[in-house]
Amino acid sequence: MKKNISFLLAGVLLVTTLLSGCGGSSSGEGDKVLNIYNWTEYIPQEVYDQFEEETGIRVVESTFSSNEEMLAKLEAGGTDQYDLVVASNYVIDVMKEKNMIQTIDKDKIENITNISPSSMGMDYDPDNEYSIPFMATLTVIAINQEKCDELGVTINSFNDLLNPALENNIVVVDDSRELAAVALKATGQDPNSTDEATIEGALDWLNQLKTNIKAYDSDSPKTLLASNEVAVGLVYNMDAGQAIKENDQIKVVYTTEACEKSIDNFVITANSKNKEYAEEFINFVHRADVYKMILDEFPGVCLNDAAKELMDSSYLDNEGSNVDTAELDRANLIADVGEAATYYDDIFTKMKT
Amino acid sequence: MKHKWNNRLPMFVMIGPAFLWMAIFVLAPLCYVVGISFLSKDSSGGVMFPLTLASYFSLWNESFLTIFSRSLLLSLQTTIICLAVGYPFAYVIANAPKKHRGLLLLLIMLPFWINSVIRIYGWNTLLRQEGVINSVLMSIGIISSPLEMLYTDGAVLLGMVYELLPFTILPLYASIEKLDRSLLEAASDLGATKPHIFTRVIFPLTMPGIFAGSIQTFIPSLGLFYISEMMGGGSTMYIGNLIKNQFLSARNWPLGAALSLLLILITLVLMKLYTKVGSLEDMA
Repeated sequence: MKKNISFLLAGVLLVTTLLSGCGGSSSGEGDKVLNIYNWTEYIPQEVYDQFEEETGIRVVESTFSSNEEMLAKLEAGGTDQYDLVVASNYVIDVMKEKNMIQTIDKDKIENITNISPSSMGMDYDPDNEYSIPFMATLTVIAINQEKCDELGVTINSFNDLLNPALENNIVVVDDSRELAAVALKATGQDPNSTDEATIEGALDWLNQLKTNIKAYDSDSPKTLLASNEVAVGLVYNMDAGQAIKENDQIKVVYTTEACEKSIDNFVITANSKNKEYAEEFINFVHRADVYKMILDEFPGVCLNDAAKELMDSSYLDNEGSNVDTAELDRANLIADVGEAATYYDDIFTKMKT
Repeated sequence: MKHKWNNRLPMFVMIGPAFLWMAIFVLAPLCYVVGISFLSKDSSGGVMFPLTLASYFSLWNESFLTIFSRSLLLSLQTTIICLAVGYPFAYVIANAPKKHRGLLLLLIMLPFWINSVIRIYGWNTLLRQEGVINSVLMSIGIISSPLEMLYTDGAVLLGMVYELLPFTILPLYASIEKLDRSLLEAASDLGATKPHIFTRVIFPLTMPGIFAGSIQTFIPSLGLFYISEMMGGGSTMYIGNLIKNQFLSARNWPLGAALSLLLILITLVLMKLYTKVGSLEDMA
């Protein structure tokens, strides 16, 4: 019998070690830790290192590659494993509705005055109670001047993307909303439409665009642009910026229609145990010299006016990184479409069938 | 009573951990997927009550049918090419001197030490318009303008074959190696020509390996979504991409779950068909 018990104990021990392995690493007592859930390649490690040096708070970063992935993880795993999340504007409403996030004490964030007023107080959070803007992304058209001249193509409107001369010569982001938005705007519809018939109407335009698309690539479309393999790209501005750095023939062009933009924000999770750390970090990031450090590594759309003044010409002259502010203001803010996300995916699936 | 328990104890101890492992990491997630497929979708992603069969009804859809048949066709092509390439390959290894066999098998396994996404990315570097192959061909004057290799259906097929070839070769090797050489000698003594020996003796005897190899190639090939994204430019959708999109962009988890279950069902049917002609033990 004794033997049995020892076997049983061994079994229990095995199971508990197995299960405890899933619990994640626990940090030591008194260790100040801030858990951040962020997009991949958005904040360089040096920023975290300097933050720890100055405040003694260690930052642990986990990353995601789409808002949907982030939402799914927060929903499945609860919100207590992260303190600070970087979320795009169109998911803020959902996060509020589901009580995933809490209000932010703006008094703790003195550097809020550095943030460009044009990105504050947007519809999704009019008083910035829950969200503090971080950076923005503009979806732009980048062209390879030399190739476009060869093909005799000029892009003045989205309909010019349908030019048969561009056959198999466009790289686009692999995103149903972004592509549908282009189609909807080209046909004079609302790019945030939730109406099934309107959204389905975009399919026709997209099918015409399809023959011109060489690749759907959201991860590294700059490779195709920079290596002269495509004449035109519908890409995120940061990718355009990187392509411009590598190839001086790449230019950003704006059309009669407005671009799409999204604003990424800091939000604090509802169950965060380290709210003060999170606020301290937001304040830290919006300090001009720190924000500059981020832009130097990941040249996105700067929403920090004080940091912009510190930037040098390699950032300021790059029209992919330092996008036209008038165009940025004119751009359509991509909105949450709720149920209609399915319709967008439907036409995307049909387009690729 | 106590005696009986004592007899069974070793069994529990031996099988217990494996059983627990399977229960926690295979059975539980599977039940979760089955559960989700009967729920309604939540507009913000995720799922909610009430229970419904809606996802299963929406499976009947023309574009899904096209996507499934296209995926099955691609998998079939992959399997046939893998067999055609893998059979001679396995045959050569099985007939190599014994001391070299281990090394040759190791060489087949070697690529697994590198993440497959990175290996596929390597193909991108080779195949793209300004890639290695085009540059070499152009510099030695065989072609004057770069060939369009990447972002074509052919590139996807190449990627699939590359990724899955080892899974075809290993079972083939196992079954060819088991072949009793004296049977070949006997056939030869009885006057069979070499092609005859192959078609009448070797081929039928290695049939289990062929079946095992094709199943092990066909089934995983249905789920590989990143190859078509990376080498096909994401322009054609296959089952894997379709399922991935339901979870990550369409916010339709129930449909994604239902599609996954349909895929599992297809797999099970194939396995069942397989057991009619081969034995599951040959899979190893």
